[in-house]
Amino acid sequence: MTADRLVARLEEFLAERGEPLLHAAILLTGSKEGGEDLLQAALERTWRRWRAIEGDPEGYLRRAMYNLAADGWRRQRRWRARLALLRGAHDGIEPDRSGQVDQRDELVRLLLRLPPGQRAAIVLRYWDGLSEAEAAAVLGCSASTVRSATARGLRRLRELSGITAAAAVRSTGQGGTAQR
Amino acid sequence: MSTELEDRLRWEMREVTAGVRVPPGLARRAWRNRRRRIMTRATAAAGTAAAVAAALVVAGTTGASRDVGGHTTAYIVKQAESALDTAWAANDIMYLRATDGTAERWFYLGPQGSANRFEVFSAPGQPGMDIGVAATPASRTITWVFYRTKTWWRMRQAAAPAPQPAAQKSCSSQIPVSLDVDESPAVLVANIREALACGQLTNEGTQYVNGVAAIKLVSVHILRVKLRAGTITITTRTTLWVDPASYLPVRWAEDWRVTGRTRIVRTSVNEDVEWLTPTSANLAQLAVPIPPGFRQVSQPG
Repeated sequence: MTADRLVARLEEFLAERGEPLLHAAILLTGSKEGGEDLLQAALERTWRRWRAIEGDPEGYLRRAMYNLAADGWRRQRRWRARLALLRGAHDGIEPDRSGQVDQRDELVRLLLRLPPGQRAAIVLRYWDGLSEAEAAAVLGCSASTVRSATARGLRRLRELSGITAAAAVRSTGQGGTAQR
Repeated sequence: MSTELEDRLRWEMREVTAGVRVPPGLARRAWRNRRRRIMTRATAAAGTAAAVAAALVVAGTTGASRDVGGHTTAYIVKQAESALDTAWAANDIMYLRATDGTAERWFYLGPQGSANRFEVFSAPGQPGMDIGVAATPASRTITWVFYRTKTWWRMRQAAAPAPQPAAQKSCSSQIPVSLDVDESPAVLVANIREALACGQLTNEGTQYVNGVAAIKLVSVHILRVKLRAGTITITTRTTLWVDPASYLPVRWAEDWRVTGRTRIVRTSVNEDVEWLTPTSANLAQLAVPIPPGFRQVSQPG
């Protein structure tokens, strides 16, 4: 397959199926621009595989995207540690909010403050609507790791947002019924 | 069990991403970028011995410079300064577009004078205000168009001395070099050059900007001011993304935060930068159009 044909095929794929991936990328990075960049980077990373993929390529792209996001977060965390030294220990470090999502979206904004593993687990469960086992396959870990990361992430979000579990619980059936 | 938190989280996730579509051309940009990276690697490999020797010399003079793509920060800064000089020598138009789509700016410095334009949008694609400043050695013309009131205003005045870049670099100053809007393109570019030359920007690796794996340079400045009511802290974070091929800035962002005892004020600017060749079509973008039916007024507003 020539490069032009491959590009055309990918553009077609993105037009049809790329939207959920882009939306997940936006939630992982905290901005539309960051989401586009992440999706593009995932495409680049998986480029060599595209010629060989005959079936559903979405899984490859999703896995690459989540791995890249985790890499980006690791770099950002190192930089934040350096910033802390520059700014003094008493001065709180906040995430880069350039091009950030709407400020009114409190919980999505607070997602940026979670560790990468917890954030990825929450986006996979509550946005992609994957089961614990499916999310584990994407992240390359066990289902129990996904379960504990999701629980810890939600607990942290609750603390940060001030929404108390006791007051807010509305029993609606089985736990972890993530759906879009 | 579903909690209010989980319901809100799902709702906000839908709200944040609603209506966002994959931009056309994403796959092509990915392909181009990948191809460019492969070519860069091949070029770098061909000149390994010379590059290593040069990098060692530069690194010896800059201490803890971070290495990105085989180049030290000092090298990147030097190339960026040189690229800015070249762009202005070629009379390229500097075009800035707010990443949230709220404003566009143009800066041009040509042999016959300068021209700037600043357009603010009240909603996507809907202009709210348009300001243009055209200067020649003899005169200066300012044009304002107000879309809400459907009016426009124009003033001509004798040319004032254009703001000039400071002769001395203010590297020792505690106040960061601002990249904010200025009437003189020369000052704007000089500010960027100064920030680079003073070493206030540190290398933070690469990040994708509109399909380009751009070099990210960041500076954080903290200024504490003692007031009668207490001390306030002004924190300015400036980020400049530089194209690794041309070394011209492709995006810049500035985030200000003022913290005091009782309140926090925060604002930010985030703009993509393009460098347009001064063709007739591109120069025409510097002119502020007066829409038909708009009324001229004697006072702006």
